[in-house]
Amino acid sequence: MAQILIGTLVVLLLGGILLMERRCLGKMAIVQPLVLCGLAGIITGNPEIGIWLGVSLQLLSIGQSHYCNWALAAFIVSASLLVLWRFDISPTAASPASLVLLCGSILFSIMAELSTMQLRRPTKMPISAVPIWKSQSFEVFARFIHLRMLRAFAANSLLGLSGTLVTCLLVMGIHNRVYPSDTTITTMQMVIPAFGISMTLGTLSQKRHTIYATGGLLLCFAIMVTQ
Amino acid sequence: MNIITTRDLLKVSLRLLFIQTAWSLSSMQSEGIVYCISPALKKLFPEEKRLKRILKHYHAPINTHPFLVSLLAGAAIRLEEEGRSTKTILAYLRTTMGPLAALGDPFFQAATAFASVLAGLITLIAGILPGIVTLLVVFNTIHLFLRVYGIFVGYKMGEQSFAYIGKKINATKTLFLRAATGLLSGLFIGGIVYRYGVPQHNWWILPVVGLVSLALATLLNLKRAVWTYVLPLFLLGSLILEVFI
Repeated sequence: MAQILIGTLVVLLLGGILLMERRCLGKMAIVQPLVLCGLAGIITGNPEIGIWLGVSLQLLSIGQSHYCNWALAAFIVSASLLVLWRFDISPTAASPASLVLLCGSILFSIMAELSTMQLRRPTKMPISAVPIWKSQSFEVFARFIHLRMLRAFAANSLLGLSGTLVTCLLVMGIHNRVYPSDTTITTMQMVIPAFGISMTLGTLSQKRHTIYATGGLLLCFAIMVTQ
Repeated sequence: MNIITTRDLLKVSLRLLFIQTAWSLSSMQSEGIVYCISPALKKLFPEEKRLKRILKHYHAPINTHPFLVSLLAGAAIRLEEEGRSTKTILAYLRTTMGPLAALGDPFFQAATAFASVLAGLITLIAGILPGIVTLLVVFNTIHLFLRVYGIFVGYKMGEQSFAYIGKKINATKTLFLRAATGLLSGLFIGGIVYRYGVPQHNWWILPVVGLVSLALATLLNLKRAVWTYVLPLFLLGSLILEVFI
């Protein structure tokens, strides 16, 4: 019971701080999927799943779809990996558990982002009507900023915790109940990153970038052939 | 003699890391800018009555790229120190914020971020930690340098600072970064093929998968909002495939 409480507090704290990093706290790429999933993989002693999940999620997020909170998805995946590791569940790359991790985190993040966009609907209030400007005091601005940070921390903590909880429950529900063949798993190991590459190429599909990408590919093959 | 010291500017630049905390649709970054430059303003204008009048200079929606707002902040501090009028300061902020954002968006969002992510992905060949470190170092070196350097440039050059930074972050450099991103993505795809190997008996799989990926990419680029549905559907489809095969 104590372990569960400590784990919940850790997820709440880390979720609040890391998800704030996405917009407010410096924006230093710490919540990039590759970073969070990679670190989770190292901590759980299973770097392969960390790489596979990190690379897949990173490639999918390069698509820059603004309807998904990719930082939240990355946090949910990495926190879920850690939580599942405590319950002796270690998913392998492209296994049903890892696909549920990807699916669950992305769907939750899309819903979270769409709900946030709805809640933050534009108010017609002009700046002259905003109460803080009537105070004419710099201290009020400081208090305002600090309150905003606290609110963002609380909201992000709850989002991170609920997403992790939902995803972990889904993974535990499917764990040891589904056994796909090795061929299917090997295929999925390539297909998911390939889909991510499509999304990456999608953002670069201007003629000149496709030419540069082809140039890079040919350079790579030239290096492979000469080795 | 300048009243504002390097330490004051560093204090402001540290606060500027949190400027997006207070973003709102009514005033955008205005409250954040006031919060960030208030240490410098309090040093320039110790009298409270004067400080209250200064607030009028920022009583308008101000919004620009968060990585380049330090330039605006530094220039604003310089204009305040020179005792410029409300009209001059507001006019400078309002006319510079748009072009500054236009400089920053393609350079950071569409070029630097992509290039650093792909550099990190390629470095994964050497291990997870090198990949993570590469991504963090490449991305953060560029934007942190500009965020801190920007405040000093803005303070030193005042109204001329935008012209100066426009020469440093120009379209040519952005194009170069995007070209590098294209090249890196090709190298990355080559690395994936090297890692998984070309199928010896069914060699046609590789060009077919390549063509399908390109076709899908072109289709997806037509309307990006479609990705919101395609992506989860694709993952759900993969999961269902694994359950039934």
